Amino acid sequence: MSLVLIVLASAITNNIALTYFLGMCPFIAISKSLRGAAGMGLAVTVVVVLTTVANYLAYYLILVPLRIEFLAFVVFITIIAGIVQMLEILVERYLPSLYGIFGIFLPLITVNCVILAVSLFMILREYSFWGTVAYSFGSGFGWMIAITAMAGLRKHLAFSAPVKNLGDAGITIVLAGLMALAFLGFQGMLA
Amino acid sequence: MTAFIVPLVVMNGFAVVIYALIMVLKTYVAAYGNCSLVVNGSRTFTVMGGTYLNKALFENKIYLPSACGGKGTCGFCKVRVTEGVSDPLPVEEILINYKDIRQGYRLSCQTKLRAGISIEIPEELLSIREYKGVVKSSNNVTRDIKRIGIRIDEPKEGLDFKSGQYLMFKVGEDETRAYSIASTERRADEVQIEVKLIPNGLGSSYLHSLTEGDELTFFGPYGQFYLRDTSHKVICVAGGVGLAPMKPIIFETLMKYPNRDVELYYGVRTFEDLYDHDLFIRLQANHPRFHYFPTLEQIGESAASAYPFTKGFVNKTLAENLTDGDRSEAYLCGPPLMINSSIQALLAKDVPEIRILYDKF
Repeated sequence: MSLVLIVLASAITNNIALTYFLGMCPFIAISKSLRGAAGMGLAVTVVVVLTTVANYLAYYLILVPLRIEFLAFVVFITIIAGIVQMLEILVERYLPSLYGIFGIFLPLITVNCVILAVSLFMILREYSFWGTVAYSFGSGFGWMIAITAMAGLRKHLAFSAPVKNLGDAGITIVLAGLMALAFLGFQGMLA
Repeated sequence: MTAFIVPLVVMNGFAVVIYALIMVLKTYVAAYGNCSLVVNGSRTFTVMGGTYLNKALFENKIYLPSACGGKGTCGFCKVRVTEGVSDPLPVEEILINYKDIRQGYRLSCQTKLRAGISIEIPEELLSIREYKGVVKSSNNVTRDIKRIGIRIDEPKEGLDFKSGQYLMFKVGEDETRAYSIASTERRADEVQIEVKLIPNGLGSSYLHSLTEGDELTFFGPYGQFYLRDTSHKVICVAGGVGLAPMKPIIFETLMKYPNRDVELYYGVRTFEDLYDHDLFIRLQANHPRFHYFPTLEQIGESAASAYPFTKGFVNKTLAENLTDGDRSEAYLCGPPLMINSSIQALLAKDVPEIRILYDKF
C-alpha cells in the first residue's frame, strides 16, 4: 500500500515538473508536438528508473560502507551518462521501432535535471529499495504526464493569439504556472 | 592516507567499469555486419552496417552535396529511400516537406545503415567527381574576403561546370564546406573561389590559411542554381560575398547570348566591403548590355566621391531601377534576409516566381 502511495504522491501531488520545476529545458523545448513529448516522457521514465536503481545500489553497497558518501554527485553523474549511452546502443540494435520513438532523445537526457534530482531525493528521503523503484517510476511518469499535457495545451496555442511580447516560450511558462496551480489541487487527495 | 586512496580508486573504478561496458557493447552489439546498398536500381555496393548513408556513399565515390558536414542542418544531402526506409526523425521533418517524407525522402547524413537499403539519387549527382588541386594565388580583395585561384591537377581533363554552381571543399577529416565558383574566365584546368572569413568558421579559416602551393581536395560541381538557357533578361542580385557565383553568370551571358541584357544589383555594408567595383565599371563602359547598380548601407565621404552609390538595401535599388520584370529571370545569392526582401521586390515588379533562383547562405 505504501508503494502505491509513493507512486501516486511522486506522480501527481508532488509532480517533479510542476511542483519542483525540474527538467524545465526539455519541458519547454520538446513540448511542441505531442509525439515528441510522449517520446521524451517515455525516455525519461525508462532512464530515471534504471539510473536511480543503479545509483541506489552504488550508494548503499559501495559508497556508504566505505564512508565516501561525498562522492555521490560525481558517481551518480558518471553512472547516468554511462547508462544512457549503453541504453542507446541496446535500443538501437534490438528495438528499432522503439528507437524511432525515443532513441533520439536519449543523448539529451544525460543533462536532464530530473534524472539527477530523483537520485539525490531518494537518498534525502531514505527510501527502501522498492520504495526507490516506486518513487523513480512515479517521478518519471509524472514528468511524462506533465510534458504530454503541456504539448496538448500548446497544440491549441496555435489557434490563439497571446500577447505578442510573450512569444512562444513566455506563454508556455505562464501555462506551466497555471498547470502547477491545478496540480496543487491534488494535494488534499493524499494527506 | 587511505582517505585519499579509497575515493580515487572507487571513482576511477566506476569510470573504468562503465567505459569497458560501453566498449563491449560497441564492439559486439553495435556491429551490424555487411549490408547491401543499391543505388538507382543499377549499382549495388556492400557496405559495413552501422555507418551513415552519406559516409557509405562517399566511400563508394558518390559525392552528395552537403553544407553542414553531416550535422543534419542544411538538408542538401536528401535522397529518396525506396526500400528499407525508416521513420522520419524530427530533424528530417523540419528540413524535408511532408509530401517528400511520405515519398521516402530522408537525409543521408541521418540515415544509419542497419539492413539492406535501396535509394534513388538524381543522375547528375553520379557524375560528380573528386578533384585535386594546388593553390595558385590567394589575395585579399576586402579586409575579410580572399580570392583563391586553384590549379586543377587531377583528373587531367579538368572541371566542367555550369555558371552559378558550387564546389564542396574538404576542410577537415570528415568536414566539407560549399563555395561558389567565381571564375570570370572559363578554363577547365583552373578555378577561382571567394571566401569570406567567419570568426571561428572551420572552412573559411582553413581556406584563408592556405598559401601558394598548398594542396587541396574538392568535389563538384553541385547545384540547381545555374544560368538557364533562355532569352530572358538576366537580373543578378548579390549581397557581400554572394557576388562570387554572379561573375560566371554575367560573363557567360555577355559572351554567349548577343541579345540578353544583364543587370547586377550588388549590395554591401560599406565602401570597404565592396570588391571588383572597377571590374564592373569597366564592363559597363565596354558592354552596353550590362548595367551595374551598387548599393551601400552606409556611405562615407570617400565612397560618396568615388561613385554615385545608392544608399540603403538592395531591394530598394531593385524597386527603383528594374524595368521589364515580366521578361526577366533573376539570380540571387546572399544572406537570407537580403534574399527574402529582394524576392518581394522582384515579385512586385512582375518577375514570375518560377524564374527566381536563389542561393542562401
